[in-house]
Amino acid sequence: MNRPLAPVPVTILTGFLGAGKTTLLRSALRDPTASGVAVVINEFGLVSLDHEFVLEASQEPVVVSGGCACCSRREEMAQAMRRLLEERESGRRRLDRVVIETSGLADPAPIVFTIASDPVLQHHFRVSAIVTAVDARAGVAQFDAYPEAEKQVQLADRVIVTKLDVAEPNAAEELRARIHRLNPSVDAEPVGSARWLTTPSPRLCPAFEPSCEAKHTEGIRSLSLEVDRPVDWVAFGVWLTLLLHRHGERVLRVKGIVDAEDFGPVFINSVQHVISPPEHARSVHDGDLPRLVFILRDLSPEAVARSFHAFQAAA
Amino acid sequence: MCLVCGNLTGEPHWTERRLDSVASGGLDEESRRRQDRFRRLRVLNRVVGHRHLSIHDECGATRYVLTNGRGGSEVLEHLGELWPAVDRLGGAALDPLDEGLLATLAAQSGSP
Repeated sequence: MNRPLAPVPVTILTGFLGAGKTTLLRSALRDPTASGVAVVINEFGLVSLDHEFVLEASQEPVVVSGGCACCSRREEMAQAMRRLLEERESGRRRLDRVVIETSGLADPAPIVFTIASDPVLQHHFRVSAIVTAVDARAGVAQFDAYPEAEKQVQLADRVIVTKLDVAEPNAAEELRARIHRLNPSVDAEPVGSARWLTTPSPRLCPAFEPSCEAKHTEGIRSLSLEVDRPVDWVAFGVWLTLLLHRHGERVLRVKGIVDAEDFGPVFINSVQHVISPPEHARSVHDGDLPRLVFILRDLSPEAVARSFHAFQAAA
Repeated sequence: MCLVCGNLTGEPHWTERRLDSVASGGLDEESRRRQDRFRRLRVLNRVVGHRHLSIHDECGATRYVLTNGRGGSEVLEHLGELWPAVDRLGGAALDPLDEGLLATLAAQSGSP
């Protein structure tokens, strides 16, 4: 049997209606570094993309037995991804990367859950980034009116602000501050480089305050937990699995780096209940101090920090 | 089994997967796995003890056995399966933010 291939990175491109996702995607696909990219459009109305295979996937969720509402499964999405694998296996397709463009109202979490829980897909795909496009003119109003738009930012690894050329300077600054409050682990990037698809997302926003503090935005609170000493990896696993089991719906993201006693620096990344297999951080940038960023909904950051330390002390 | 690659063994749960080690301490993989498992059981027993449950390894140290002292028990593969079983056998949901649980942990570990 052939040696298993490395998992194919999957980028989930999301953003509210009219945020400019398709324009962003077209631009990225024209870049020479973006060869071998398959595109899955999770949308009712399909937009054909030149020379790209486009699959239709409906938005109807199928709830997995034992799952929860936030982790509803996208069966059509899973079928579309399996078809891509079959095409690669039969030599009809090169498959270096997949982009899933969601509909404007979509919650990205069920897509992450579908890939992580599917018995086939989990071996062959890895969600590498959630990229969220935000309209510079309409973004703040959309956050005010639609929780879906806020959640797309809260779950993001990268936020790209579009239509800056037609936005008032004050509006763009207000939007940037709002994005930072919603998700302190990202820095809003102006639309520009077409290589957002093929360059790694910043692990953590360098401007993030390196202290344990809480911010409040309509029930959303964030916590930056400095982990200034090596963590006991066994106790950390016990704690994080229990935290996500009990509060996964309210722990929207956990992202960051811990210095594990046995392994050195390890990247941690979860979207609600779903945690990506932690990766050993072979190189750590200067800005990547050991810390964990939590995006919480209706949970006390102080209580999460207390719990983390209590479990570490119990090791 | 994965239908595409034919992989018969499931991926280990992330909590039990060894990442690149910076210091092996001279232990082979199996010894390290068992050492981690022993330490994990010690932490787990402090946590589930709050619900008067206990956990131990099944022979072979590949599965866990959770018991409630009233004749109830469940065999579990990994931590992903453990917490729902703790809720069932313990009679109430275990919350890692519960101050009572944190006090139990502090008392067991001798922390202030």
